[in-house]
Parts: sequence; structure tokens; C-alpha cells
Amino acid sequence: MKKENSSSVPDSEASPSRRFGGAVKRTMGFVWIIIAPVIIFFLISGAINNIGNGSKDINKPIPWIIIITIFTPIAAGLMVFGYYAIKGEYDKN
Amino acid sequence: MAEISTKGIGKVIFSSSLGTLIEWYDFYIFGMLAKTISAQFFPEGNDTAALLSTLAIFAAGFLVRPFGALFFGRLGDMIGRKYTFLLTLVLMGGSTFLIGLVPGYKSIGIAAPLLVLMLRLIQGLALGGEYGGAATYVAEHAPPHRRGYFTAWIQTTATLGLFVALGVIMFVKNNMTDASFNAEWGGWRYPFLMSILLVGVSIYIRLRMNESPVFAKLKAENKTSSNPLKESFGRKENFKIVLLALFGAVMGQGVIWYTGQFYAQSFLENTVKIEFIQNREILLWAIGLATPFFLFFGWLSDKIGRKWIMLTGMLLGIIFYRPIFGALLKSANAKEWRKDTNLLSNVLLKHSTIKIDSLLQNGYPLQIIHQKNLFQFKDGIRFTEVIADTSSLSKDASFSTSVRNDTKPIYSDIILSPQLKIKFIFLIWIMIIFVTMVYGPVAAFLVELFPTKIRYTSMSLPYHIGNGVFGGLVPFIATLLSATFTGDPLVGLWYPIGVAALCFIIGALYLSNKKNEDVSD
Repeated sequence: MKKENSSSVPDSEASPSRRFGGAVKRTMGFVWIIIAPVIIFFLISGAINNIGNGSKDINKPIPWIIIITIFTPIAAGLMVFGYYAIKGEYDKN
Repeated sequence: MAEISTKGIGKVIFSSSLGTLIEWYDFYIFGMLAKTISAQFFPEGNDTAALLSTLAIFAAGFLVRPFGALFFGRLGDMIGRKYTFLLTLVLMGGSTFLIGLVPGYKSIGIAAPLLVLMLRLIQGLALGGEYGGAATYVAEHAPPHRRGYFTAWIQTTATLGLFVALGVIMFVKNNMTDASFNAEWGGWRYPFLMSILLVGVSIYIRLRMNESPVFAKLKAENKTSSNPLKESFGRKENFKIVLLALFGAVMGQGVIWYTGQFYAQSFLENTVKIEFIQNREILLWAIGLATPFFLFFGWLSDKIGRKWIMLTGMLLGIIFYRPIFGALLKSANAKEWRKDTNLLSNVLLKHSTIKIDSLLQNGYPLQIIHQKNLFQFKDGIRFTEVIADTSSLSKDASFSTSVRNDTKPIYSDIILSPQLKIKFIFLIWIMIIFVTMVYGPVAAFLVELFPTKIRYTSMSLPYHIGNGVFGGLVPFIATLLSATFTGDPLVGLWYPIGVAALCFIIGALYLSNKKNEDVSD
């Protein structure tokens, strides 16, 4: 894997601004974890409300099946990203 | 770090960029000729053909491109960049040429849409494999202090491919009648057939190139990956970087790219109602004038880092999309022109035609009167107004005295005055400048994130999810938002703005502006 660019400074020795930055990154991890299921919920409710209600692409089932199929692992990826952020995986640049 | 010479870098860039440009050209002409292709292969009223048409549009962009990134990325990390992106070029060129040869639905029935769908899926697969190979190949030839500038040449290809596709289609269309162009074996096939020549030249040039020196060294030392997919996505240390690349950079880049180049064009055509040829002219000028900025921002990223250039492009999109699209809509408002007494005093020509349709409604005769007015003004503005009125007949067949104005006038085929056209070119140009900011440095940025032995795989997947899925969804989500919130004609922009904003926050928080100089590890 790529080597880290910055020096690995233990948390106790890091500057206050760096400690604050790390705390923000970790806290925001919860936001990324919450956003992922919200996206999937909106996609599924969008599909339910629009399929069969007209003749546009948004009213056909196939696009929704494809989009929800491809977006589910992407949303899961966003949750994993959030989890990594909480665990401090991105604390160092 | 391995010493990299810039000797022959021009040939490397030319051979890689030309092939990638042709792949984009091949991919775009299908989308641009979608109406004609649809009429030839996916006729209305046939449910199977309609299903295949939807699959051709959605599956090729969303499902197959990321799959192509995985398939060819793995291949490129195992056997090498040169042969892999040569293969993608052959697949793309071959399938484009064959689309030009498939007989229409009238001749061979359901086999026609099936063949076209299959070829379109191969196109999507090939596109998924091409970019990562070309970007990696150039980056692995480039010296660290000029990597952004050299890979920016690859970044121009997606835009120049659009430029060439637009130019070729306009050239063919302008040299024949609409009937000749749209016939079963008509002019629409020429851009597809022409692809074989372009691809032939590009294959010849690419065959004469050597393997990337960085990868060749790795191969000679027997250090290539035996399972790039597992190493890329199965190991936390690399997977977390893949996720960061996707959510902190490429996702936002994808929506900015799509909105500036494609959504703008369809907005001008379908919402502002600019006439077909003038719409393409505006886009061609804007693209032509903005393209050098890909190189500029690639160069600048070598000096000041990649992160903030890309994020600034996103931020500008977030701030200015609604004002710019709003200005486009307001500046060409035929409804307001129609009310403007000063403008109406300058009418050069007003030509009206009336068509009457008679029908029965609940047993009573009814007439629908379609009035089509063509306005042309001294300053060059032109537009068409269509009004449909209904008049009822009484039982004894004498026309009722009242005529109902039951539809609002519909305006279309707007031709702008030269001054307005320049304003539109400028506004589209600004949006493509945002594209150049996010897109110019991104190849170097992605290449520097991953180690050589899994670089092709690791960078291809986030790139194609960002561009193909997040970017490609712009028109679909825009239609969805417009159908849900009918009062705001710009409501569709909240999708790219929202995605770009999310990406901006993630990128600003988690990305580093430091460049990784050594890509030979």
C-alpha cells in the first residue's frame, strides 16, 4: 500500500489544531453512516411513487432496479467510509 | 524512486490521448443520435424493444462501466497497461463500427435491438477499461513535477471527444436532407462507420509503443499482483483510500463534469428551447475555448497541489449553477419577448399557418385549431409560437361563438441574436471552466493514491462510479425532481449541487493536498 506522507505523530503529542481536526473527522463519520441508508430510503420511495405513473424513464421499473442495485453497494461503501472515519483511519493525512 | 526521462513523452501522450478521444467519440455518438437510433432499432409500441432501449441507456452507463473498470483494471495490473488499453480500443471501435452495420427493426425485427444492445454493452465495458489504462500509462512515463500537466492531456479527451462527435454529426447532417439522414441506411450511420478508420490509426500508433517503464520493471522483478481485486478492495489499507477517492473527489467531479457539458446542452434544448443547430454551435464554441484550461489546471496542480483546485471547481459549481442556469432561462424567454412592445415593433417577419383537426367528443363535433406563428426580429432573434384552441359545434352543426384558448402558447426553435449567443457561449464556457478545474488534475491525483501493482484496478473503479453513476444520473434525478417539484424549472440542479457539496465537505476534511511524488512503488 502507499506509504503515508506525513509523519506519524502520536495523538498525545499532536498539536491542538490537529487533534481538533481529527475529532471533527471522527465525529463526521456518524453523519456519513446516517446518510447512506437515507439515500437508499429516498431511492426506494422514489421508485414506489413514480413507477407506473407516466411514460418517462422515471416511471419505468428497469432504471430504478438498475439504479437501486448499483447504489446499494455504493451506500454501503459510504457507511464503511463513515466507520473508518470514526475509527480514526483518516486522522493522518 | 526510479528515474523517469521525458524523452518520447510527446508520443506517449499522443498515442494514449488519441485512442481515449476516439473511445469517447464512439461512446458519445450513440447518445447524440439516440432519437434516430431509437426510431430505427427501438420502435414505439413494441414493449420488448422499449425494454431493450431502456437497458441500452441505463445498463451501459451504470452497470457495465464499473464492471469494465474491474475487469480491465485487473487485466491491466496483471498483464500490463499497453495490451489492456489496446484491447479496450479494439472492442470499442469494433462495436461502434458494427452498430453502423446492423439492419433496422423493419428488416430483421427484434434481432436488431438485441444486437444494438449487445454492442452498446460492449462499448460500456470497453470505456470502463480505457481511461484507467491511459491515465496510468501516461502518469508512469511522466516526471513527478510535471505529472499533472502531462496527464491533463488525457483529461482533454473526454471533452474533445464530445467536440469531435458534435462536429462530425453536424457536418453530416448539414450536408443532407433530414429524410436522407434519418433513413434506415441513411447518414446517421456515417459517424459510426467512420470510427473504424480512426480506431485503425490509433491501434497502429499504440502497437508501436512500449510498456510503461514502471510496470515493466515490476514485471521483470516478478512483483506484479496475482489478485488485484482482492488487494484493491479486500485490504483495508487500500480500500479506505478507494472510498476516500470516490466520496472525497470523484463523486463531485462526476456531477460537475456531467452538468457542465451534458446537462447544460439538454437544458438549452429542452427547457430554454434553443434551436438544434445553434445549441450545438454554442456548446462547440464553449468547449473549444475552455479546453486549454484542462492543461492549465493540470499544470497548476503540479505547482500548488491537486486538492484545492478540484474542490474550488466544485465550490464554484455549488455557488453558481443556479444563477447561471437561471440567467440562461431568463435571457431567452420568448414569452416575455412576445409581451415586449418595443421588441414587437421591430418584427421583420411574422408568418402564420393554421391547421384544423376535427373530431368527435361525447358525440359532439369538435375542432382543434393549431396556429403556428413564426416571429423574426431585426436583431436576429427568431422563435416559433404554437397555440391550440378548441371550438365546439352545436348539435345543428353551427359553430359556437366562443372559442376556448385552452392551451398556453408553446415556444420553440429559439434562435438567439449574435449578442445573446455570445452571452450564452460565455455562460456555458464558465461552467466548462469548472469542469476543467475538477477534471484537469484528477488523473494525476488518482494515480498518486495507489501503488503500481494495483493502480489500474484501484483508480478505475472509483473513477467510473463517480463519472458513470453519479454523473450519469444527473438527467434521471433532474427529471425526478422536476416531476416532484413542478414550480421550479431549476429544481433538477439540486442533485449535482447536493452531491458536489457532500463531496466538497468530505474532500476538504479528509483529503491531503500533498502530492505523492513517487509512483514507482
